[in-house]
Amino acid sequence: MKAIYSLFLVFALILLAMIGAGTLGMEYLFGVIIPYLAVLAFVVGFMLKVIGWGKSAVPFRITSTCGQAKSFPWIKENKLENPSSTWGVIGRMFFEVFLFRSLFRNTKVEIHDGQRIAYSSSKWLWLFAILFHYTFLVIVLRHMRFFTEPVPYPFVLLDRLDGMLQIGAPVLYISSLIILAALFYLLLRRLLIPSMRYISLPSDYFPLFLIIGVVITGILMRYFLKTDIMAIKELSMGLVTFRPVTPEGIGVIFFIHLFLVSVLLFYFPISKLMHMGGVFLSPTRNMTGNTRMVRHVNPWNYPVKVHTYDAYEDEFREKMVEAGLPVVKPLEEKSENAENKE
Amino acid sequence: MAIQKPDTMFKNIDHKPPRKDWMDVPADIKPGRYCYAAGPEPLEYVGMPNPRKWDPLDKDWKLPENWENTIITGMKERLEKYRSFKIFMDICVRCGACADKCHYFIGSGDPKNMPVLRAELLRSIYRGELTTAGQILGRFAGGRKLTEEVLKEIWYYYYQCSECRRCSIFCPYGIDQAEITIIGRELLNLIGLNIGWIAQPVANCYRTGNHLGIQPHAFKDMLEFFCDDIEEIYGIKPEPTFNKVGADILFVTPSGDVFADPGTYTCMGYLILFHYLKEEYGLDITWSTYASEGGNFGLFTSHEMMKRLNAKMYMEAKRLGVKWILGGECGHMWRVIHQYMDTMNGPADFLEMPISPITGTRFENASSTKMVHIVEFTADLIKNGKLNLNKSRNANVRATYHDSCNPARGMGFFDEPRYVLNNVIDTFHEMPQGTTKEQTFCCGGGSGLNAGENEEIRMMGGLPRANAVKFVHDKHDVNMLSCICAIDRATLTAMVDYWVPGVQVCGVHELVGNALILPGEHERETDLRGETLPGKEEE
Amino acid sequence: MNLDKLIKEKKTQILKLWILKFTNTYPEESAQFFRGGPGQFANPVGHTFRSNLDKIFDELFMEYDSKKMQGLVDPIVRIRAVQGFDPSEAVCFVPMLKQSVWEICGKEVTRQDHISEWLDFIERLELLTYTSFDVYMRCREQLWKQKAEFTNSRTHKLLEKANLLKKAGE
Repeated sequence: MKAIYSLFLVFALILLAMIGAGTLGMEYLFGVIIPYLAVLAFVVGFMLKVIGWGKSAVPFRITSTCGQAKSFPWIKENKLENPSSTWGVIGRMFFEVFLFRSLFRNTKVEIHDGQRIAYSSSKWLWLFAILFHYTFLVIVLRHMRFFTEPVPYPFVLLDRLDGMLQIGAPVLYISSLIILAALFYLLLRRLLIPSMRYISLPSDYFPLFLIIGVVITGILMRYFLKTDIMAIKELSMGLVTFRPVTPEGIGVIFFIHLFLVSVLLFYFPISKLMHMGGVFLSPTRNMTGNTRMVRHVNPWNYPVKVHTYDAYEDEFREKMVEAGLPVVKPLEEKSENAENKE
Repeated sequence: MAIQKPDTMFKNIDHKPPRKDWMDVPADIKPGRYCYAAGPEPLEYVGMPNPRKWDPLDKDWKLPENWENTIITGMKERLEKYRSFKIFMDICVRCGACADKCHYFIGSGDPKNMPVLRAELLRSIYRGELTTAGQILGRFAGGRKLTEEVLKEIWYYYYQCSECRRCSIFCPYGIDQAEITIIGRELLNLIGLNIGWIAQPVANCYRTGNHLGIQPHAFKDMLEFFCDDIEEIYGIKPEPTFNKVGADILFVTPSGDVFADPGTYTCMGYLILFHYLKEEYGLDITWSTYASEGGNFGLFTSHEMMKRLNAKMYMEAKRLGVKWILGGECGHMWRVIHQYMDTMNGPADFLEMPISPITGTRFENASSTKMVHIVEFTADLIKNGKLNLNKSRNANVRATYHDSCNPARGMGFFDEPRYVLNNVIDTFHEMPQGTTKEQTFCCGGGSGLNAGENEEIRMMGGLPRANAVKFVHDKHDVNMLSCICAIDRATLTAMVDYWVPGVQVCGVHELVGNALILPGEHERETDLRGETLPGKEEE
Repeated sequence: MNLDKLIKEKKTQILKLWILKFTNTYPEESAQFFRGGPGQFANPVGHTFRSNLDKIFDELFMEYDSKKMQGLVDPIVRIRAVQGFDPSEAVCFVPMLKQSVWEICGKEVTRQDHISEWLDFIERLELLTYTSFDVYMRCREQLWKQKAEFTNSRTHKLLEKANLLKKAGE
């Protein structure tokens, strides 16, 4: 049900763009105004969210330690999994952000023939997650040739590499295939594995369908419903140079594509997609694990009520003396000031 | 013929109700899985809100007026005070990497024991009550309102999380369910929803210095009772000092070591070691009756309570004028010491840089907090050849080692205990990879859940650990599960007794105590448990 | 062909159905995990069910060895005994085997010349039921014993006797 709602929502968005940009001819709205607003919402929303996180205090150093801590010189420290220095933290974050280290940890241990232990891995999630994220990045970068003139060499090169299979005309992008495969893997595991279905929310399906929508409209535009590339480039260059134009002859499919991307940008800052920013700020990963060595300061540390030794001795003095335990004040006197203190 | 009508007998469990969203399935509080509620006395003693007598099985939980507001305001406040909480509420993508990593889920199969869902219980409230999208879109944005049903569900499942952090190491964003549980319980405590097994120890610890409410004279009696036992075995009686002003080092250990088997044997191990160091090197280590608890059930209550209980250690060290503090074998105690203590109650500028007076080793890794783990302390003594050890007195022992959750994932304390073990016993076998070190499984009773009444969930939660123990027991005939945590020693004992009979549980320093040769001791017939040593059987 | 041999030949199918039925006593989300989640150590419940039901199946067609059978039943029942099931539910894997065999080889079973063998097979299953209940009771008794001992730990009792405890709030 949750998936179907989300799917319908994406269809509704497509329909909206078809009617708006196609039937009603509001090309300026869909080609210029909405994209501008979307980028604005994305940038401002993203920044506000990150600033919001940044404003929250980090009272304690709660690093998850996944390796041997810094100890004696004769014990080998795991500098990446339990960093004691800033460089270690940078290394740890690099592996986490760029290689999805924690997802990779998913090893499964099996016993074969009753004796031999084998460590197989169940890394499909890691594999498809990393494929998805990197191809997404490649696709975003590849699109830069629409926003630059002349197109800088790295983008040209990327474009060539992506199309190196040399199949069809225009040539097939490898990234188109990979991202579709990865997206469908991520979608299917949510739909088919009962536990995944149970934990999934509409807000898990919606971005998946939305991105699938973006990818499919993109592919349709490139391979099947040919659009006027030059006109599109004119539009996109107009956008980045702040001289927006809506040239004739751009198919409605382009406006659908652009509208879905705009929705994605609007949706990004208020959704789970913010994990892109949040991963850098996660206190269990981006801090050192050497809290006993370097003191961490809590900005809102406040005094608390404690039970003092004096109050304790007052209560038990008689028994302590009887048992031969040393006391500060002799039996007769009751210490002043023995109340619990702040 | 009856047999031609299959699947009728067990219809009640085989029959699947129409699939419902998890938000529509209220918690069914089952005996054996929940702990009894906290009574009014301990809450009153430490000044926690809403003390009263209540029962989780009752419909009416006697919540204070306007409790919803208290929780929501409390959440808002904590979102500002803890970046961890704010981020963990915002960025989960529900990828499911953590889902099958929780020992309670693995053992029970209750879907709400999947860490992601445990977090979602609270996250759904955050979205539904505190984010604009959730307030407008409600369920479509994954939000829901805080109702009494939802509150009960959160209570039930947040006291089925042992804050072991295993899920957090598999999370691509480092979302730590322990942190969410800690804050979730803190919120529950704002309206008086604690469990007795946590609240009573907290109050006791506050008043008498330890969980059980052992009064000072009784604490001393207990340790002297152990010294008598040691005298019977070694012919030598250790003479510990108490509350001694001017001692070199203050020693603090969980009170579980003083009162509960088999921790008591570990405690004897400490006494033997300290006696040895006093005789051989003149080291003066003192015990405190005031700060007689290393364990800190405040961690399972609220950050503030954690701080209030932890404060005693530095206060006592300051009063006694010791150089630094030595800490016993305990799991969550060391999480508090390693990651919270200095921040909360430091700086410990009245103490000295911890240097072993015997080996001269500087404990650089403890240079700010000035508290040293007894296992690293002993490891250093062994490395420098300062201990006279005889492994053969542990010849009965074929050990494996259980990495306790907190020293593992809250410290990274892996090689020190293994080094000590390898120097005091002959036979040591690791459990399979994936169940040790940072991936270690909880004993099933951490974070104040080692009560009597929730035995079933403890057993289910302990199964993954037990299963790995069973493997080395069957394969290598391992008969001893060593660990460095007092809750482990209490919980694992019952747990392996059920799942892997034939395996016992011990602390690392029990084995040290067995192996250590005291100057002038008589020949030993038994180990600390009174079990006859090989070759010493009576003819 | 005799019935035993026939049932043994269909082992794969029967076992699959048997495990399916048995794991369906859990919520769908975890049933799948117990059925398919790999790993002897990552998924002890699932692994125990799968491997021990398999072995019990084989054992049913061998010379009856009560000790061996108990050893195979024990790990399964031990798990079920702490999962909050009623006693009959905890050991329901036995009738479920009967049902599975019936569903896979029902036609063959009703053949006149197989009736006596079928009765024999049922009898073996009954024996298995008794064994399971024995194990179940042992497990529960052990849990209760632990509960009793929990409040009576050696030294704690000692302290109480000597009236040395003072609980906060008393």
